[in-house]
Amino acid sequence: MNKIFTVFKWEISKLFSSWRRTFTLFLLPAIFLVGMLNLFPILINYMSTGSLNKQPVTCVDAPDTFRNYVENTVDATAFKYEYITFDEFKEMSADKESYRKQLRKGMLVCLFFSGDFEHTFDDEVRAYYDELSKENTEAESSAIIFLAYDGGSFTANTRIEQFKESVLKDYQSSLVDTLGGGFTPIGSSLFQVDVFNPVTKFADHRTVANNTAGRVVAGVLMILMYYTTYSLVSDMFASERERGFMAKLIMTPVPRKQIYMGKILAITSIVSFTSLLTLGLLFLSSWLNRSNDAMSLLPFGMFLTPSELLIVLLTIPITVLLMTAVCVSTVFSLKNMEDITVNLQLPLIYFLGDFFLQLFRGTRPTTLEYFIPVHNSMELISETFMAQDKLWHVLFVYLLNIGIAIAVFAHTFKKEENK
Amino acid sequence: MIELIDVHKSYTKDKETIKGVSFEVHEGEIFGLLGPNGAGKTTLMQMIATLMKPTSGQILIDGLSADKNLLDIHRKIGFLTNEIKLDPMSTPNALFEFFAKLYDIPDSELRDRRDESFARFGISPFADKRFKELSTGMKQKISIAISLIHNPPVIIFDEPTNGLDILTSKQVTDYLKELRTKGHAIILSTHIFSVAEELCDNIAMLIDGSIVAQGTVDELIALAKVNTFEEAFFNIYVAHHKE
Amino acid sequence: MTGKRGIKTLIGSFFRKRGQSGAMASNASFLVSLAFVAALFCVGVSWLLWRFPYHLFSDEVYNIVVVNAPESFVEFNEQTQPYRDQRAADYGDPKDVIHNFSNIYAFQYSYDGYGWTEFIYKETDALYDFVSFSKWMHQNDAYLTVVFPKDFDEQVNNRFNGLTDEKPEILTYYRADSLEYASMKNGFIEEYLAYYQSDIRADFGFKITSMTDSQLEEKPLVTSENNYGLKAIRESLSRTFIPILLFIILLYSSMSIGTNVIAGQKERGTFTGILLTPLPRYAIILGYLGGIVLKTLIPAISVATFSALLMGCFDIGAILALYFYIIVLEIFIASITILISVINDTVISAQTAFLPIFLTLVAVCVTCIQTVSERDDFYMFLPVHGQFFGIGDVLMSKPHVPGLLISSLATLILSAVIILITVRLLHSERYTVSIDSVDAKAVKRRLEGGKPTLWETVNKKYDDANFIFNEAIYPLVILSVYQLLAVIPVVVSYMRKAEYSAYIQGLADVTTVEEVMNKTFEVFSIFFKDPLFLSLMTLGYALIILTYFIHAKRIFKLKGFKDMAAVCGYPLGNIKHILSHYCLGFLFGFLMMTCTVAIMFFTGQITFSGFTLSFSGIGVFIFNLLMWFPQGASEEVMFRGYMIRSFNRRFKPVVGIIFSSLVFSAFHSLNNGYTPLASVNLVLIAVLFALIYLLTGDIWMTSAMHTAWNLSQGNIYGLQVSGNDAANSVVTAIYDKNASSLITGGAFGPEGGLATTAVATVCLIIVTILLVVKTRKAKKLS
Repeated sequence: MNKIFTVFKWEISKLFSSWRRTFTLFLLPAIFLVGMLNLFPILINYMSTGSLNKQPVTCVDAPDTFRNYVENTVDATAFKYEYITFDEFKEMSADKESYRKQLRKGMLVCLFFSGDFEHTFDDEVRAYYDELSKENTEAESSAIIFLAYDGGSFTANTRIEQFKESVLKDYQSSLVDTLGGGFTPIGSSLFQVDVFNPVTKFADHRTVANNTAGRVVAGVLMILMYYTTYSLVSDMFASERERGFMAKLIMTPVPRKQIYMGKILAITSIVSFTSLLTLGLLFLSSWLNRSNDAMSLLPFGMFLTPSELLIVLLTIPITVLLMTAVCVSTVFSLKNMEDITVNLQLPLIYFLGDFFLQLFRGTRPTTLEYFIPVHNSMELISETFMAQDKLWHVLFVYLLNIGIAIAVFAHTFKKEENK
Repeated sequence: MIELIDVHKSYTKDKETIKGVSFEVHEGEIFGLLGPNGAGKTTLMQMIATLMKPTSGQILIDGLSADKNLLDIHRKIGFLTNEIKLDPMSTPNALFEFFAKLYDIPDSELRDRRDESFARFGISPFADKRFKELSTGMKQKISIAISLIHNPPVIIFDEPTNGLDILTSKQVTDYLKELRTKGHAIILSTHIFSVAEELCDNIAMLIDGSIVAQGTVDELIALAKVNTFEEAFFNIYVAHHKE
Repeated sequence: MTGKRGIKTLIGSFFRKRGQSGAMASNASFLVSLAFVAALFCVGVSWLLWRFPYHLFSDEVYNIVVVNAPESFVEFNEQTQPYRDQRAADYGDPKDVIHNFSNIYAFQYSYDGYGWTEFIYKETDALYDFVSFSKWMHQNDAYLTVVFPKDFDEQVNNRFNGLTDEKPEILTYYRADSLEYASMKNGFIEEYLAYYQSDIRADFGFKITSMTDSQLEEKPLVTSENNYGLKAIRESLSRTFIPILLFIILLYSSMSIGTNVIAGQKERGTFTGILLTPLPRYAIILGYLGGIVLKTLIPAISVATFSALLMGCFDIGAILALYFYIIVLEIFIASITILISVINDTVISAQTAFLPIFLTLVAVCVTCIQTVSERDDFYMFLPVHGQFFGIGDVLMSKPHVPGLLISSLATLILSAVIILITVRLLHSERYTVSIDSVDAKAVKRRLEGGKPTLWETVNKKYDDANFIFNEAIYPLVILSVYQLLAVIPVVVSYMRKAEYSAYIQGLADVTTVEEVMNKTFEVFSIFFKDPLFLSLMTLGYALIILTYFIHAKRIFKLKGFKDMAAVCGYPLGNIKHILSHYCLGFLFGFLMMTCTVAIMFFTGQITFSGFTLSFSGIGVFIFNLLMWFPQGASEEVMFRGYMIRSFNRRFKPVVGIIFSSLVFSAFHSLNNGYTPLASVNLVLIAVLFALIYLLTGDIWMTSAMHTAWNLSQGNIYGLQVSGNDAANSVVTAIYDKNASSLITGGAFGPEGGLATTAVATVCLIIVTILLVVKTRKAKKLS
């Protein structure tokens, strides 16, 4: 058994023998992927609006209360504002074609309307509260806020949703305090909820961030894990066989299985380590990202509870083991180096596809998906991030993947020994 | 020490690469396997080294067969081919240590053995250099040193002096002679007559997968009824090679 | 061999190896492909599935814990109970999955969980004790805790009676097991609590219990013509999916074939053989290029033909245009591949290098998707963009002829440039024979003993700057990590204490930077009286020392623990030496502080208030004392033992002393009541310690001095230590009314005043003299 460890140590020391090798293996893919994740939303934004900048929210006839609110609220600063009058807006939207073009470029219009053109939005709300203070149960406000945007654009839909939730709704609920004036008894709401509650604020951030992370992080980890596994397997198995070094190892009085197992152990631990490093980078990237932009793929506040973290941390080596098994079996079943490379690279395309699928699917996994090896690991990580993990999913996925990995290894080695 | 009994090997169904080879190599003997390219020398060597299994027939090393006592055989043989490429980033010292561990050589013994063989081949100044910085000859010498790290009674050398300059070649041949006197059984394949003539106690000529002649240099010359070993080889080759 | 024949032979070599054109597939890849198809199928199914399998949901709970429930809320809950019972009856038992199967597809989270919610009432004074709340929620199958202030009803009453303007604050906490609970919490706040508010208003006799002051209306506009049905599918297939598919096929096969030729041959050592043939270099490149292009075109053309026919594009001209686009694009991609293959010397490194290009080109494709309907014509003439749009146009049977010609021409010119560069590179030995050959000019210059080039100088300077930056940042990172770790449990423990609830609530008003700073100091002064915090900090400082040992092991490549300690300034060999130096250091430190205090006392700056150590505070006092030992030691390791040592490896000793002293001073500059004089003093003290380090050769003495200085300052004389108020001292110094903060250092403590300057200067002079004497002696001896 200690021979496994000798081979393991040898392979590890080989990887650290030159900093270039270490860097390409450990840091480059991780940094590259994290960079891509931060770049991707910009691409999507460009894709749907045709410009790299975020368009400001065009506020038509914005009342003073709104301007004040925007100036004094932290959450509102996530958006930029452009104030125009109704006449300017009319002029702008007169030419339907150019108006549509602007909307397509991501313009959001927020129009404040008091019900008629005689008085302002604020006046209307104030008048409504005046009526209420006279105990007029029939009082009605005709004040209305219109939101116009490109209905066909994914980005515009997401941004308008975020604008509504984080700015407009709060603004509306602040109106009773600013304009409620004479409205009895004290002219505003009776109590407030969670004004200062760091725990819940953090949990709210986590909810947003982990929902996105569930769609993104799992796929990224899979791509990275496979990429690293495949390059290591082709280095430690295929290239060494090609160079004749493998024969030299087999000639030693160490059983073949132990040599292979040492290498497999080395691959599994190195890839797991790289993936953990990437996971750490993803968390760091999330926590450095303070804007919590609706479009960000790594929004602020990504967080896992210890048990969830444990699930993810265990899933990684198990998945890597299975990936290694698949790669090793490919290497042993083919002779030609070119064929091996093509065969090893092919799954990389699949993982890329699976990543995009996971990003856009928006549905929970079906039962059958837990039976598909490797893919089930991705679903497991994903649902763990979304806090939907169930014990039987975890156990089933682990056992299935380990079982298949062992079966593949056993089959491969048996065939190899009989050569 | 080495015993081959009617060994056959075929890669495909319709063609036999080795067609029934039998011979024996004793302790303190250098056995040469001589033959043109494609005669099956490498295949035969790899089978003796247990890297491949014969289709039929038996190969016994010190009375052991690879089917049952594979790892015991591995402890007894040292194998060297010229095809090994070493990882450009590792160093002779690291590689030596690694293989010593795989062969279960204790640390104290390892140090002595390493010092001795590094000194013999002049590796010491390069012991901590990366392989990419070393010359071809140096790499070959390191490969030899590593192949013999466990002091095996049976030594299998596939073209040991290939690609070496005369000086290095001489070092290697001298070393082989010394090993012979120490009682190792050595089998080497080569296509260089001078090496075979100088070193081998017993030579087998392998042509198209079978041994067509066997004996000492003098016996072979006598068999072919010529004056030199080189002429003997040509005569035997022409007589046995089928078009 | 002429160039032409050579090219033909090379191209031929791509197809000669095996009878078939494709690669061999292993069983494993086949199974992986199968798994992927299955996954694809499952995802598709999940979109169609309207009855979602119940067993896939995480555990759901519906109860709500109400802490300090006011009477009005309990009453309100009782009023709403019949409504919830009704809904519970409608939907049945949540655990009875089979019986309720028909309801599952309509399952939606809502704050009352279809009436399954029960309210559990609890009482506590600790409003931020989320640990207990979480426990209660788990015990009672609750997802939410709603925390009312104790006197909620009274506060509301007062508000109605005009006695106060303060609004009571309700806090909510939800479980972290499922993200769904966040929206359930929002639902509860927006609906249930809103009803509750109306209910209170009604209780007080108001007719108006709810109001809507303004409406919100969304107007999503249709900005572009939408296609429906088959037409839309055809449009998106031919403008998006098929072009992307073709791009990926071309990129992927070019990569796997192209990196295998030159880079692969270099790895296998057969490339030199090709170079030695009498083929001109351009012919080698063109031959390989042709081979890659032709071999890649087999799958690409078949996919293109198939999809063209699928899209109903039967026009020969259009199909030829499609082929033309693909061929031109492939020539471009293949030339990039060849370039990368020439630069790299192994398949793996070539593929690693190609990966960014692969992803960049895919990203370019993504940018092409958006403007399909209203792209500028300009894009039609660009390389890559032109091909992407062109393929889409052809498949939609609207070929854009000028675009085809100009973009192809541009692409081919670009490819030609890349090929020319590649051919040039093939003349350089760096890319053909040796990977490590050095620039001949550099070798010559080195041999002639000339000056280093500007680049080398810049490199060296950059290296130095990098080193200095790292040395400065490392202690900062280590210190902040360990302090953060020590603070987290302390913060949690304070959130659980009832008496601090009001204090935490008060933090809501902290907005400006200055207030945040002040509050932070305030919080820390509270923490400094807490045994938990003190013991955690003690542990943290000890861990910092250990971290430095391990760091030193890595940097100096050491093996044994003794060596690690020695490099960090703690030689472990001589116990006698250690004890004597440590005790002496302790004495010196104490004396220095005493002198400082004496100066302040005799100049009438301070007086003492008897013996202030109370029996109840003795525990904290001991914890505090214990903390100073690793604290002093860790700072000594960071700024003296390790930092000066590591600087000495690169620079003159003076540089290390100056730099470490400046960093030491800067580290303390964020503390409360900081004055410029304080930083001068800290530099002086740091230099003093550094010189003692030089004098004694280790940091045993300075560690003891550091500890004794802080300890006597804070816990004997009761002064501030670098701006931190110390708790529980033997005597407490009281500043005189007329005390000058110039001498006493004010809020920063004596370290910010002239008294310290005087003492430090005197000590510095003494140590300098000792050092000079020692060096002279050493010189004489040698």
